[in-house]
Amino acid sequence: MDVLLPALANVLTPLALLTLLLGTMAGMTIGSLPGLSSTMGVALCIPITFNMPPDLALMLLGAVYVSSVYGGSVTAILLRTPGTDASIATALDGYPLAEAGRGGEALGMATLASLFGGLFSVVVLLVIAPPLSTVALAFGPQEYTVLAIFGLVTIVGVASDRPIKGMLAAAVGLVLACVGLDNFTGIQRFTFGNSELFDGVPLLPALIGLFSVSQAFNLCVPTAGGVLTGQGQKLKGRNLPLWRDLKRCLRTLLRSSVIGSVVGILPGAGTSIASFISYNEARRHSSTPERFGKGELEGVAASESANNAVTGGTLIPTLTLGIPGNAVTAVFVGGLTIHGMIPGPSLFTQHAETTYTLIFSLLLANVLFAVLGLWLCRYLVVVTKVPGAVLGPMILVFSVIGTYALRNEIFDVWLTVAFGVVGFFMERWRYPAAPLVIALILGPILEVNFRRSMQISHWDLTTFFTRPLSLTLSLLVVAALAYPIWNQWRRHRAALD
Amino acid sequence: MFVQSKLVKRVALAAMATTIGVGLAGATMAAEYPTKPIEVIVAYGAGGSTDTMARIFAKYAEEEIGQRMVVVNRPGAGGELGWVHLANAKPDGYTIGLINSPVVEVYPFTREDTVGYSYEGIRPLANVVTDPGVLVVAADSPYQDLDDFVAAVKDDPESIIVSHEGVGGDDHLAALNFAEAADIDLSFVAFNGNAEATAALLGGHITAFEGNMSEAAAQIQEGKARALAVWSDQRMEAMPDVPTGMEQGYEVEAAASRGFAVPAGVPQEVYDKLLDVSRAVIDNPEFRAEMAQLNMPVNPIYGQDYVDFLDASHERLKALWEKDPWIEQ
Amino acid sequence: MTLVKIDRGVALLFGVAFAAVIATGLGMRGDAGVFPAIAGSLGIIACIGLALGTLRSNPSDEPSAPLEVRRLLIICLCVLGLLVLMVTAGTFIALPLFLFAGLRWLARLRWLTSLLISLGFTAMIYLIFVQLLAVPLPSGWLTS
Repeated sequence: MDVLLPALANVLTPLALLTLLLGTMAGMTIGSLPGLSSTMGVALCIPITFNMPPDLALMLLGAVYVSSVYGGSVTAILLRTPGTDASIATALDGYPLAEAGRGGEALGMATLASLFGGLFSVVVLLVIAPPLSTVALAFGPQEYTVLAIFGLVTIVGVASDRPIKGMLAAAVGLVLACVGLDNFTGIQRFTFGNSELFDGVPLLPALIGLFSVSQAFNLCVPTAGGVLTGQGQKLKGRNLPLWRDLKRCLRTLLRSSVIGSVVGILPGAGTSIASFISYNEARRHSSTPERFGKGELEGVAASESANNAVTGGTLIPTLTLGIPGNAVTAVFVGGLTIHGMIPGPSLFTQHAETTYTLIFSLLLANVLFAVLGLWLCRYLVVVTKVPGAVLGPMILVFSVIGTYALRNEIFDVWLTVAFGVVGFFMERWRYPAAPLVIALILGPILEVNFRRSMQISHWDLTTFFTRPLSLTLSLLVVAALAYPIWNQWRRHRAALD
Repeated sequence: MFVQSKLVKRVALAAMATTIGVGLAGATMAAEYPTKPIEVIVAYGAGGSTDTMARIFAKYAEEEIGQRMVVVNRPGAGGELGWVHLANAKPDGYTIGLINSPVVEVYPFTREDTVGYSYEGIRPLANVVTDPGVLVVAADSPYQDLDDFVAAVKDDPESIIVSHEGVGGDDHLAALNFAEAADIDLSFVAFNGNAEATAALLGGHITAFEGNMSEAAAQIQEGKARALAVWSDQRMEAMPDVPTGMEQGYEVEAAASRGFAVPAGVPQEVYDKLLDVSRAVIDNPEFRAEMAQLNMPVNPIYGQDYVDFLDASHERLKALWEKDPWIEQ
Repeated sequence: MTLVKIDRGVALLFGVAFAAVIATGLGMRGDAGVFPAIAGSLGIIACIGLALGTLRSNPSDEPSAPLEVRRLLIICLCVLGLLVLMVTAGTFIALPLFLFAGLRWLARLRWLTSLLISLGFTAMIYLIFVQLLAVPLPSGWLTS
């Protein structure tokens, strides 16, 4: 208790508030630009923090982290150009809403959901971090394998309109996921000697190509591309979701925040698994699952609350065990160590004040981005009134520069453009792009963990069902797969009666 | 092999030609070097241990050299992409880079057909850190020393699982080295990074973790993990209780060394200037203190000594590779 | 071209590609080929399903609007020019030219408006990426 008050006082000094405000604004900008991921945002801030006192340095990094995850939702909704994999699920419903002139409402929902998820996970971090950190250790390769399958189940829902084309896209994604230098045997798979492909098909160039670049082509190519929101129809005034909608989504918000926080704790999982699983679960529990993918506020709420709940979750193993929960917090650890704080239990004893200062500042950063976001909503939606052929080249520029900035490799830019052309024709020919990307993200997690499980268990496939945790997860996967079928059968019978 | 040596000869000739050419032109220019910011290529991602070291070094070097040092991350292919950029950069001293031994000297023969740089295209400048390998088990593991561990492997080889960070990486090479010295076969599992492997070790999913000291020291100091051995010729300051492999009768020495290099053909004056800067930074007690805090053992090796150090490692590993390649083609 | 024909082409092309993936996978050492083989098999099943689906054609499945090939070519050429110029001439010569071309020919803005927007946007990119984030964008002719 005696560190909480000084920590709170640290956060409320003018300098701290200014740092948080700047960090939040920088984070929102970075998050909304395609190619500039949270990882990069935090990494770019590290040199700036060299000369700052540790308290302020951590505040800046924390603010950039949480707000950049939120920032991704803005462009995902308004332009269908998700900047990172965390916002793909947001775009699935957010963009149809924006097309229908309800972009403001979708942004409002995304903001409130992000706030909810973010606050939820920071409170979890504040209150029960040490016991929860054991979750990070309980998950072995077997559990990760099943978790990856859980995430892949989302594809079934996303591609329910065109199951066969969805399956084809997913298979392409899985094959692309195999590309690269295989860590287990050291051999090259499908790289054709390109060292740029040794680490696999780089995810963000593929993602930005399939979503942003193809969207830019969509906006530029038709002469009548005129205005994004169907020929300049009036924006439906509201910038906040109705109270009724919020209440309807409350259960989804809670469920997604729990999923996000737990997945965040797992070092091998990643933000996008959380938002995919939450999105799929929201759809599964919805009474109108057919509206998902066509502009359902609940879908935006699920994805956004989950990906922001990940932020607090990832910090749990980082701060308590010294094991970073994802790539961003790995950079965070670099920042901590530069300031002489070695992550681990000592953070809560030796450096307790600084640690609690960081946690409080995360709470405040969440509130700050929400206030800024709600205020900016009404101005940002105007983007949807700009003629498509004007927006298109600008999106292209951001995509090209953003992918180059990822690892300063011109090869990645060519890849982005190639994926853009592929994405453009996929959409025209009615092949969904989301299954490809989901498979590309989750394929490697599935494969390496499957192979690790096999090496540890010496090729015993029952290993997935003999461990209590992986058995539980397996049952959840079966439920997620079987429920829609059962539901359909029940409705079919009800219709017959 | 014939093609390879011809290629090397050609590259060496080209390097010599550029050295002479640039050397003549650069003689006057080098006097006022540097006149603009210097780019530091890090062949790994931002926030990793190589990157952290580079950024801290750059911070001190800027004070010495009076110019900005801009760290540029060019990750990919386990460092290869960054070294391609380094080797291909203009040899004017405005692009320098970090090289990581032993991987920088093994790619030219393990990836013979595809590698994009030649070992001769990079001129080593100064080694900064030598991070020895460690074999780590969880704190509640029954194995107290290497003999326990080896006995357990001999007893039931399938039950002992050792992690490394990818076939052909320095952790894998260290573990192979140990397996050879102990005359055992180890079951390996590859992890993509130190975070996942540490979680798997502490969670009891794997038996042991082969990694670098700087990655494992925090967990060891916290008492959550125990190092069975450090693969160096003497005990390390950061964990004085951990015996070396040699003390326990296993002739194993393995480490990841991180240092600076320049593209071959940099004018000698510029090279010397950079060498002086490196010496000054490495001798700076504040720099040393920061490295100690990160559990990165400083091991300064300069100029020709560094070249010899890498050459020796190159020859040794190449002989090993030709005898028994660790990646089957 | 109707979607049915396209789907048939896709099924054939990808069916062959997936078969090649499976063949390569089965030839890989150790367990490296397991996953490619599984993914390839999934793909082949999907291709067969797709091919069978085209037999009972669905008339509603036609492209929404005819493809405007000329405009697609223009934008592709612009992007090609952007990338080539970026590495040769430098990012900040390539960007305004690309934006100007796009705004002038595709959006049909007046040339002064196009010029102003492209210069302003380039300046913004310069501020964000070079000044703020210190990304080493290719600088081409501007440096040497």
